[in-house]
Amino acid sequence: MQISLAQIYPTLGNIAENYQLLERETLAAQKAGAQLIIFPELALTGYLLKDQVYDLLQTAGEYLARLTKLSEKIDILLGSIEEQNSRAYNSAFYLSRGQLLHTHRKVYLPTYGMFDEKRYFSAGSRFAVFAAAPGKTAVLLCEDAWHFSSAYLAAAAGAENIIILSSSPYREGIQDRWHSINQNIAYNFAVNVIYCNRAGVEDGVTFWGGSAAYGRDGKLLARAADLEPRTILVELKNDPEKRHDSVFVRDERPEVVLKELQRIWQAEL
Amino acid sequence: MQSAQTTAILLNFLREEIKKTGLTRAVIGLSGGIDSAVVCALCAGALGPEKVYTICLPYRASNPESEAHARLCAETFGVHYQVIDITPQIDAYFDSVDKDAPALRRGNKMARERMTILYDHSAKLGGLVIGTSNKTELLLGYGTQHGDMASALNPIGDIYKTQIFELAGYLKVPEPIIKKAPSADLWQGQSDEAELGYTYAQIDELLAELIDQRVSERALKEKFAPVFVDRIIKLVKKSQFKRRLPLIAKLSARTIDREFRYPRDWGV
Repeated sequence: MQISLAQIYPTLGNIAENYQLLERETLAAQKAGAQLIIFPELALTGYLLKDQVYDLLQTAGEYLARLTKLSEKIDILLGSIEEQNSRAYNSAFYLSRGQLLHTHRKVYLPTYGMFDEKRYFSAGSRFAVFAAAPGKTAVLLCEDAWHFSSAYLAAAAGAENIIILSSSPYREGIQDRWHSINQNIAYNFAVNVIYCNRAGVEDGVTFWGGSAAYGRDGKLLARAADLEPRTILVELKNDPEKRHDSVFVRDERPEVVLKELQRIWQAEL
Repeated sequence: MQSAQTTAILLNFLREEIKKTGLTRAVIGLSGGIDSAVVCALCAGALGPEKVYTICLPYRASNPESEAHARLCAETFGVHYQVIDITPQIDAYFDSVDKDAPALRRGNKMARERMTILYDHSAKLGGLVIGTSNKTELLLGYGTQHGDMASALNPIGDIYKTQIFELAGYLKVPEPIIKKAPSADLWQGQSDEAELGYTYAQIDELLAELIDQRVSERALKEKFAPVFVDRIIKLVKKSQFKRRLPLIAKLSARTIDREFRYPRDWGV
């Protein structure tokens, strides 16, 4: 199936304008024959929101409802802010056939170095797999992917595709780091990895782009240019033989991991 | 440092952060030195040379070579260039207020005079003042607060001096500007390295370990001369105030920048 990877440059805090951008991209992708369009983390709001998180929660919810209606003919996956029980989450929404099919709330909120996400967001606590157009799919948000256990849990739950939405700031060496993470996830768990990063600059921080797709053998299938906003079409293959060849799929023993983790955790306490 | 990649990032940074403000031009004080030359090259690349306004602001004691190099830089990159002599106002001030003011005070006053002229041209031309302080001098506090340290955007504040040389070569800054000894040129014959007591190569090697790799003071003293480590750490700590906004006495529950936190790009 055809997937559109939309490496956009959202305007910080301007949801109405970003909605226009997402709508334009979605209609273009639909026209190009894509069955799914993927946007980056916090695509509807921009990343360095700080106190604007609380100012924008309601508006973000309203525009998400509008986007949901756009998903009648093409699936949409995007990142935005979410209010749930008066708490704010950094979330990913999979919209399909005019419905919200799945929500992933970012589990690992980076709060070190330049990051301060825990100051504004509450953390999710699940890596769920859901049935979507490309098959059994799990969504990770940026930092989630830096914890190998996130992809492991998704794979243990049967994910055949792992989609990573990102707002990754540039610092020297970051492209190689992400390439290695994505490739390792794809190869180790025999999953397609779709990495959607954003472009643009906020408060002097550059989001470096470089959105990419990897096959279930870890092979890089497509990559968007660095820095610039770009939309690329990717042909996602459902190649069962690569699943059959995978030692993870064949031989992994989650029950051993569970038992051993329990033992290690008990000993810690 | 990968100069090509760094340049791509910085061009994009300048273009985007200037565009957001609604302005289209850059205003740069050209000293004739390598830092402002690099910034000039970057701005010309990002905005087009016709959008870049450079001003050389000499004092009567400035080395004439500085102005010649500033002009060479402006001609090389095809940007607007003018010279404004700051001697009359500096001399008028010290003649009437304090004839015996030492060189440091005079130098600081000149740096701040240059700043006010650049900001006046920012308003006149509808351009942003682009900073020219590199990471080494920012960390050492080797600059004048509200003087040369003042700017709207600084593309080179995360680049050490030794990396500036590398980048200058990549950006084709004229050779004489790259080759000469770095100087703040606040008085005749001043030299950064003589004044600091160490070469930039030595200082940057230490700073990279201290700041970027967070190597402990104890470990640094096994590798570098302890007196050198002490001196650099002292300079970094002593100048911390120059890198921060003024302290605000906290009274309310939502003090500016402490609890009231918005990105700088909030309103643009």
